[in-house]
Amino acid sequence: MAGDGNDAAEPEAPAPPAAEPAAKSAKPDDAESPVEEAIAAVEPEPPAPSPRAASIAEKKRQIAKFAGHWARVRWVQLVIAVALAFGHLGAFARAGHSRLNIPFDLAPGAHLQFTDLRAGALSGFPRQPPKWSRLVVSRMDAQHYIGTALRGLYACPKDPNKANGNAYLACGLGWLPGYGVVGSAAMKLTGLEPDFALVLVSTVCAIILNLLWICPMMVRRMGLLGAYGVLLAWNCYPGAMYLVTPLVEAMVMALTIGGFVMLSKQRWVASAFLIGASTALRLPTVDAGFALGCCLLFATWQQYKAHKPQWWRPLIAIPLCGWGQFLTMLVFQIKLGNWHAYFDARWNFGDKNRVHRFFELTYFLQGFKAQNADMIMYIALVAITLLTWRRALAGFTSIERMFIIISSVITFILAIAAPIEYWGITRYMMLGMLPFLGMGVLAKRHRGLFVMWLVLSLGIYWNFELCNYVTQGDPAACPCAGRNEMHLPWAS
Amino acid sequence: MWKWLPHARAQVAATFDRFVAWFDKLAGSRRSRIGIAVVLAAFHLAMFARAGHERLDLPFNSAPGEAPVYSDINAYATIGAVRQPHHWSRLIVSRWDAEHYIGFGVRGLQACPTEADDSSEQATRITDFKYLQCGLGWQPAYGWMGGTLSRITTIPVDYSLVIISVLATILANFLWTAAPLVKRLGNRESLGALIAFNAFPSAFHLVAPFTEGTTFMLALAGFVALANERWILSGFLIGAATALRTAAVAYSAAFGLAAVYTAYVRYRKKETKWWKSLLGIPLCGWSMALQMLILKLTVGDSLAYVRARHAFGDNHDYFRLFSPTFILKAITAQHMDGIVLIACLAIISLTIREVVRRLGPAESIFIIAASIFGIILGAAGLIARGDGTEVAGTWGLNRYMLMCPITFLCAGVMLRKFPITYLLWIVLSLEIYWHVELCSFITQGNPDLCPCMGRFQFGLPFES
Repeated sequence: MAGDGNDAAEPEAPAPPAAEPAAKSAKPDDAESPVEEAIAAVEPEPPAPSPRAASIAEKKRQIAKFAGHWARVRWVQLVIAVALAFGHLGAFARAGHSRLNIPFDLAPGAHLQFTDLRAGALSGFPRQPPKWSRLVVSRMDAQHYIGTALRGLYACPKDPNKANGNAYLACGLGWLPGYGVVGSAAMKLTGLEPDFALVLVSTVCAIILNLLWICPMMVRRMGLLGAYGVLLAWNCYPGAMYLVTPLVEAMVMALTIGGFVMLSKQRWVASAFLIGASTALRLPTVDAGFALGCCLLFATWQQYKAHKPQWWRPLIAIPLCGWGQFLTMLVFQIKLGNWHAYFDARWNFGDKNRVHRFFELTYFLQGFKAQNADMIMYIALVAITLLTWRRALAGFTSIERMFIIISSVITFILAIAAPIEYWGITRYMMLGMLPFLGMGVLAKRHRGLFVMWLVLSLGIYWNFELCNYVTQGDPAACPCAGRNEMHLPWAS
Repeated sequence: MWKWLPHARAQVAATFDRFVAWFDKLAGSRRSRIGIAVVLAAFHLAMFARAGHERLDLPFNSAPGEAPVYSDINAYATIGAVRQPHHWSRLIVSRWDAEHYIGFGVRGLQACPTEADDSSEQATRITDFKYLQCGLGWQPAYGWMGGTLSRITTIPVDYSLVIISVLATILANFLWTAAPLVKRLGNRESLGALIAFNAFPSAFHLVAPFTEGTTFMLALAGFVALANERWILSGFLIGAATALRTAAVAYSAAFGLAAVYTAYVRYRKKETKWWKSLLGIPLCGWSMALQMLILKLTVGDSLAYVRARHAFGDNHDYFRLFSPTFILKAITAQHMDGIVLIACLAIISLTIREVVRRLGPAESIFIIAASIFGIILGAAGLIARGDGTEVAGTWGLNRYMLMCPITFLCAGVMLRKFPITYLLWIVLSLEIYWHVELCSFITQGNPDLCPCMGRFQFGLPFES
């Protein structure tokens, strides 16, 4: 029986790592139908190529060899990674000009600071800190991260008996403070304004992330073309523009994929440290922490069964899988007397469990007309995953596969269960590795579909996601956007 | 503890294999082919009945015994909230253009002027308007067929049109598993194509008093004849479709290309009678030519249909489909045409090579050209309305895509190559079929009754 995307491994498919028994080899190519067999039987042997065809083939081989050589050179990879990150900044500059007729920085030289250090994070207009949205990349949640970088937890109530969720929300605790703290440190180190410092952090993380997608480990697992396919598809993905904003995506993903690379090198503690750190930035990253915990247990069991000395070593890393979140809670307990202040704030913001959506087909259908075309992306990612998962996972070891599958499945669930409506699904889905690895498979096996996917992605990137972000959902400025879910003024 | 697991897995696998073997055999016997064709046609009628009950609390026929009739034989076709013939929308399947086809069945061309007055620019415009209001904005052949059947059998025109459509649908379904297709594609692939065709979001139009069922059946029959190298028969069948629907000229053009290619290849091989395939070309537009002749004799202008369409507001843009903004806007449009278009393109790009490999060159040329011409023609003819922007009008694109056979052939191959993805597509298709297209059809675009519809573009009352 044919499986989805379980064609025979192609010649360039990477060999599984030596330490690991071959990743369960992809099933043989789809069972041939009688018709295919008949066609194969009557089809004559292909004629010997003409000298011209042979010359073209030789040239192609040479070009592939040349490209393959340069694609492995580190400084070339760095140039590509930087160019892609700057591509997003360029897209922002262009969108600011074409959608809002504003430059990249509306108030050059302005110094960002709160005029009222206790200003409510979600009340009043324009919101504080003044000029927080002067950069075209600073919209939506960027206000809170910039705010945290400037005032920390200063505005938060210190007496838990007198505080409620609304008070925590008003001081900016609806967004984890970890990234703002990183921004504050970057400010102090570089002397930049907080918004620039956060953009710098995000851009550096985006570059690191781009390098991680084409690191030697990924190239070994996915093949060179597959790894570059993933890199390209990742950067064309509609949510990719968040990578250079003062939002957490770039750092979270750099830590997660960095942790994954460490996992593949069996550097358990480093892996847990990196993935654990990401849990201080964004709560949905607990999927990666949980997946890593499972992998560590599995690795321990495997090593125990193999009678390896120090088989227990992976267990050491388990407490680190969520250290960022635990540290945040500890700080809350010490400073605010309430370890669950963030959860109280989110609860008041409107977060709740919406898993029941999986049983409402109308939710999915109505999502097709959503403002950011999120459901289109979601269904497309499901389809890509179904189409390619076997092949995408074929080159990875069992522990790596476990991490990819668990974190991706949880992401697929969270992406539906978490958003208030639809806006955000595309962004949540960036945490799921499997569909993106599948895009690498598309690049190798189904190039037409891969190109189509890139075109669609870029279309939605520019006309939906980026436009809605820079205009904060202004339907007049984004005529392609779907039904309006949210529109906020962004002036500051 | 888990000892039962391998055994259970083996049992499930065996059951599944048995199911696959049974499924593969379905396209092999004529009896099962007819059974499937009938069941799938009945499925659409049942969906209509169910949708009428759920969305409008209406039975399949809301005025039994009240055949469609004109109280004013010269009643305007496109003006007025309650249009004539009276009771034209009594059947739940009779909405939108059905009014005009039923109208032709009842009054023929009686309301049309007998001469084209083109003495001045204003007189020309008035004549165009008169052509439109006598119903000539829609080709009269299908309505004429319904009227003829009604006169022969004494059943009302709306029922006779539905009977024609249902019979054509059954025949089209039967043709999907015809020997030439099964031989080239395979049993499972042919059945997969048939199921994908019937699950397509706009497939219910096949059993409505619309031209889709008959047009597609004739085109598919023409394709089967082409695959059997019966070029004259193929040209005749494809030519017959052109009187029903203008977009059927896409099939004619595709047939012409396939015939010329075949003749060229045979000429290069120095075959005797290499020109045989070219004999079908003059036939591939015969019914449209005949219709134009009849219009010339009866209403004074062979291009009366084109003039009526002009009065209706047709403004063809053959590059509309190549506009990224058009596609992106179509994603969130009332019928989500953009989503279906993108999904179809994805399916095609995934399996087109395999389909071409299996079909052979002439058949591939016909199928691909018919689909490309069909969708470009369809998109070109869409009327811009809705939010007032130039490219907002996507209504109808799904219906035009139903006429593109390449999607379904590719979907059939997808069933074998990527079965889970195929199932995902079928589920998505059926969801859009039920919640979006069918709901919008029977309510004539009422957003209150169809909450899953996309951005509102167009709606009309359907009382009669």
